[in-house]
Amino acid sequence: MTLKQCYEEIHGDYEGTVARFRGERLAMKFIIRFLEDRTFDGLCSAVENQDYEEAFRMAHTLKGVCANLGLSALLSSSSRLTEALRSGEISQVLPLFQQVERDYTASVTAVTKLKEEQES
Amino acid sequence: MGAITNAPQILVVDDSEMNRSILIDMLGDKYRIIEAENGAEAVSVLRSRNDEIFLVLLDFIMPRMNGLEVLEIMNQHGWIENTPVIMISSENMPSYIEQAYRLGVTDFITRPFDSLMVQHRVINTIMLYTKQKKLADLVAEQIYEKEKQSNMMVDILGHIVEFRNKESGAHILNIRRLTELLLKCLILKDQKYSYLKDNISLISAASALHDIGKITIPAEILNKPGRLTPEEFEVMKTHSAMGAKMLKQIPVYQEEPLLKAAYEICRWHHERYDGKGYPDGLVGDEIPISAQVVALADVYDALTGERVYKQAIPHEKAVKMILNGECGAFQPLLLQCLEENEEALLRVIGQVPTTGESVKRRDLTQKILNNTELFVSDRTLRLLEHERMKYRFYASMTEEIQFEYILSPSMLSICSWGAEKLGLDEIIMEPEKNGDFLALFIPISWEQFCKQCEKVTREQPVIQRDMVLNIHGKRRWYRVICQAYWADDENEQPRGFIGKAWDIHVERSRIRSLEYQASHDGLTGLLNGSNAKQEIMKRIEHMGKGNMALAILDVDYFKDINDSRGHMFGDKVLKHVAEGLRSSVRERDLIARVGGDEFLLFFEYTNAGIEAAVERVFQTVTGDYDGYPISVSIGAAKVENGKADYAILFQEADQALYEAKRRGRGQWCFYDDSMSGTLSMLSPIESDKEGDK
Repeated sequence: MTLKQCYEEIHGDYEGTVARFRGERLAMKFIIRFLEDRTFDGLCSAVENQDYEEAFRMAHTLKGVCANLGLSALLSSSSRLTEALRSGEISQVLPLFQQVERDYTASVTAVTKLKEEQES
Repeated sequence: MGAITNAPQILVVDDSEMNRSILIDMLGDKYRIIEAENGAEAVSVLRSRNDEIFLVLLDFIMPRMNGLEVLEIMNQHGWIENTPVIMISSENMPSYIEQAYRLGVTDFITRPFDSLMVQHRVINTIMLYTKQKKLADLVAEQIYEKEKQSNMMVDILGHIVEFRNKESGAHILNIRRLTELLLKCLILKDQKYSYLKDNISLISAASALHDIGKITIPAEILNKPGRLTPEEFEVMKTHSAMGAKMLKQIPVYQEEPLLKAAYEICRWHHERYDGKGYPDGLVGDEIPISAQVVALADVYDALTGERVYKQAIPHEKAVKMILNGECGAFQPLLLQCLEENEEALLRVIGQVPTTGESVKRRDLTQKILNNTELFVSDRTLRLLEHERMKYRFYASMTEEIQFEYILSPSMLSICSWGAEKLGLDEIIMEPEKNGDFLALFIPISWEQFCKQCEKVTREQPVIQRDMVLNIHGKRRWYRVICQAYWADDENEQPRGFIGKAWDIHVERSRIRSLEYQASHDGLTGLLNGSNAKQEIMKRIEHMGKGNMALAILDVDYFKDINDSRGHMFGDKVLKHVAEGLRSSVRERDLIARVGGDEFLLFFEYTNAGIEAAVERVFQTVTGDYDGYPISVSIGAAKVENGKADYAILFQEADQALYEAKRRGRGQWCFYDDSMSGTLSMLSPIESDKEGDK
């Protein structure tokens, strides 16, 4: 699997990201490091504990990471969650979080596959 | 590595490790990077090395202090003047951006990061600031050059006059320095003179021209060796008005403050506060303050300096002559300044620098420090860094917890050694609400400490307090000393405190044990005689009226015990008696060993059970000890519902003890009036008393 295929699978912004990183090398390095990023875990436990202030910061951070990595689908769902948390629409939080979770899982699955094929 | 260690340092503040890594990678190896994962950490870094950091890349939304709060603090400390900030964010809400610009942000980088954009924004900002700093240095240097040259011109002109006057050139420099000194003192004396603060260097410079009018005086009068005739003196007196006239006729510079000050000084430096001076006979504060000050400086320097016709008069005598009104009339506040600055005055008249350079350097430094638009020079930064290194080193050697507290926003910073020692963060926001921090203190002593802090004044800004701290579950005594500081003159509330705390536990326990040893008997561990007396007197004083009793206990035939069984055994008996006493009285009763085999007991009691208490003591102590029958006699005296007097109580108990002995020993006896006037144990008549060594 190539980097491009990986981005296609998760509806990511391949061209934009590679352009911003000036080449595939750095883009590849950071997309693989995304697997080690613990922001999503922090978001899960904040939502679970109903600590919405912390959840807001975590969602916001995740959104920033996704923007940088061109993970468009996850960027858009985490943006919606961030805004719901910012304006205190608590009833929206759970469904939006579930969407984030689905997009995150999809991204991680694809990137893991990419990583394994790169290493082998 | 050489290139890298000289590379500009950038502080990257973002709560996401991933985002920091991406930025750092994009910046490449042209910079040295310091990372901070939240606002509080960033402030901590900036606090210790803001002047080494070329640029801050700052995120908006972060735990423990967000980006805007960091900017607020950077503004309060003036760091923002020297350290540019680029905000990083996906926030594009106008209110945030506007607020960030208002707080002095230079630029924005938005997510997603574009590596070219990041590199260009960073390099542009750094270049801009470096250029600005260089320009500022250049301007400062030019100001200095200009100031140096104009001061030089004024001095040269003054010298020419003095040269014709055949006086030493030192006079001009002395007048300048004396004027400066007196003015600095005067502005602190009265609020109405505080406006002079910015004019001190101007007036001191103008003072050089005070005698410029003397060039119009014929040389034969000016340099006449003997006394001037009244007519000659009248001519001489015209020099002040003439000097002023000359200045007035200069076609340019009439609006220049320097010229105006020089005019005042020339015309009125021979006026007197009582109105008897010349040329205009102005009275009191009609005379401009600049002229008043120079007049006093002139007289003082003339008296203390050596002239062809006279010797130097010592400072003390000169001041005395001036205060006595022998050399003119001056306003009282100025005379106070003269009286209070002996040391500084002596320095002026005692030693004349070859150039005025150092004085001017200091003025310029002052100006730079006062002026936030100017930047500190590289040299100052190096010196600062050196000081900081020294400070850190000493701090780590002394094992002191050093701290600084700022009231608004409430923030405590602790030196790294101290923070580790206490198990706390180096920066604590709102420590008064921080559980970990408050857990250090015993609540009541924390409250008292806070009250002490609230009471600080400018006059007494230092607080010292010994308090117990809970450190990792152990309670230890610490001494805390801190000093309040104020940001400006108006504010009553201090801006913050700086201070240190150190462990005095060992020292304190040692002192306490020494105190204990000094007040207690080594053998029995009971209080000793002199301390017992003090303690009893204290208790009597404290209690006021009430029921009190004092008993003296004596071991019968103690000498025989020592003689038959030896001193070692004798000591054991004394210990045994002491134990018996301890076990038979209440905790709050007082027992002491006051002589060889003599013990003192003091009771405060509420009901009539005092005889029973004495009986219990008697029974406990009396009896067999290691095969030896111990017998004691007790004399006691009491006061019921009244105020006791130690001396009387002791005397009565002593007489009762004598009575108990007289009745055959091995018993107790309370004082009554029938015993008054009897003999006393204090003048022993019995053999067993003499044996008690």
